[in-house]
Amino acid sequence: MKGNSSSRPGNELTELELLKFARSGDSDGIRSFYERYAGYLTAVCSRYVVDRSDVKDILQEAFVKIFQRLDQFEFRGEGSVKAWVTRIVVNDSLSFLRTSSRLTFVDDLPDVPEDDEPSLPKVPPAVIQEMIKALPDGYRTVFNLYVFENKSHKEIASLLGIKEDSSASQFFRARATLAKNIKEYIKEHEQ
Amino acid sequence: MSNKDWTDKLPGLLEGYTEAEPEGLWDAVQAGVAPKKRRIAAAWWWTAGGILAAAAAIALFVLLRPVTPEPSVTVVPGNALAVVDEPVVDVVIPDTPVVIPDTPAVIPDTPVVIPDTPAVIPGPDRESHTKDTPAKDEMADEEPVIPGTSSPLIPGSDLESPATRKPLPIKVQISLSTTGYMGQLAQSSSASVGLPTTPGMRLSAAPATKSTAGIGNGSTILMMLGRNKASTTDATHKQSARFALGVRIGLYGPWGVESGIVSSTLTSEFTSRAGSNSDFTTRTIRYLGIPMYASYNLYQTKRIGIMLNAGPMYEFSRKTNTVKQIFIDNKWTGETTDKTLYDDSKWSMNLGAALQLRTGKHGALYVQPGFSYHFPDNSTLETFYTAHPAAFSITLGYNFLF
Repeated sequence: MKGNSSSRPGNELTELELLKFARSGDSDGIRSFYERYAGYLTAVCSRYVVDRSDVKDILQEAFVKIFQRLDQFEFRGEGSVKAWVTRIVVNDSLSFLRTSSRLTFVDDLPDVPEDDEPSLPKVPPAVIQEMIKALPDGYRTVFNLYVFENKSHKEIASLLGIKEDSSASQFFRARATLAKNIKEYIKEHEQ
Repeated sequence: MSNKDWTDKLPGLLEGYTEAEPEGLWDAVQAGVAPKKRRIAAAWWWTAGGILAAAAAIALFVLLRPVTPEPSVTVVPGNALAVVDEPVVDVVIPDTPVVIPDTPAVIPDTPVVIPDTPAVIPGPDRESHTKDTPAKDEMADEEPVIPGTSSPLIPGSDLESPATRKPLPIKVQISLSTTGYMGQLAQSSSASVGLPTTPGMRLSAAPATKSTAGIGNGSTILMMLGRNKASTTDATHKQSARFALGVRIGLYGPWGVESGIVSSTLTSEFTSRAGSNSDFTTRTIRYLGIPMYASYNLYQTKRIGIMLNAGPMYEFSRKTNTVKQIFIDNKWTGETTDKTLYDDSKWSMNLGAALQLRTGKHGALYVQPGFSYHFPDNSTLETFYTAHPAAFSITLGYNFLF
């Protein structure tokens, strides 16, 4: 289910080399491009959409879109390809959540006070990922947009069709819940 | 505590984190990418094949068209024996009944001098005519004359074969035209519960096809609409005016071939609703068509003419623009624009009858009622062509005649 980035085909290439390889139309180039980002994008998509079959549908569309638009992409330096493919997957995930009526923004999580910061290095990334995925859809979406996509609450409100205050409220509750769960995890595993 | 403190570290922490991709994802992606490549390649192959076929037909016509030899007649002085290069045409000089076509006694540079000796063309009973040839006076009023020669023709005889006909010059005609369609609107609606309802996609599509097509359309939003709720989709399809640049090459007599390029724009509007969520999508697809028509000049006077044409046309999509207005909880939440090419190709059969009015030596206006039928295929794309495959049209155009 999880694992850190391992040595995949094409990993030795720079983004520009990989992009040229994929643009050449060579099936190995397309495959290498896919292999480079499939695992990472699965993780990104899974942070927004929990259901595995939905993740597959979204990623399929996203990859086809990516390959169709590969020639139009303007390379802006190392990292720009990853940012571009991430943006496509995030947008498709948001579209799915919006239109599948799964986003409900109710304050159903308890208002947990945060007294101190959790110690992240003590928690494996896979556990944190699972904790994020365990958040309700609305909280999780706002949290991901704010933390991982660096969106402001104003932008999130516009994207999701909610009020700015609601976005902030959802984020604070999500962050507090996550901090609490992380601390509990650390506490359990230190014993 | 600031809003971003420990959460600032999360992106870095999960930067290299990966998960195993869903099973079968690569196959699904391949299935989504490969058909498109194949369809695009097929479109270009069809186009190239059509152009090559047209070029080959024209080349064959030019190379194989019959050339009428000027009937050269030489006479052996004193013998009064005439030998004609043209193997079918015999020239018989009165009082010299013996004709030996295979024994050409030729004296170069000898002018033909056949006073009062009409060239008599024998019919089926040609041998009997060699002796009893009617006098010139009796035949002259009835027999047509081969253009460019003094030889008369006997209607119905094999002398009317192309071998003796002077080739007609190839006439080229370039036309600019615009076509309007009668009944340009076609409307449809569909309802579904829990089915993916991508606007403009026929619901009968197999899941894999649906998914691929949905991607090409960039319509992820509406594709997802029907997952949990009953959704309805209304569609309106329009065919805008069509513009064309064509060439007609006149071949034998009234017959000719036509080809060129035809630009068509199909617009479809979809309204999808699922509960309080709705999408309004306007999709515009531009097609480029290559007609391959045969035409027949039915009637022609100095001022007006009637031209019939019929034949297939191959069209393929060149541009797609999809604009989507999104309403969530009945509130407008945004607009997306997607220019991803939705590749599609169509074959159609077209018929037309053009009334042409000459406006000068090298120009003519024309109006052409027409009919077209777009053949159904495996495409899941829903457009005016699929909603309204049979359509009547009116074309207005101008011909440049050369």
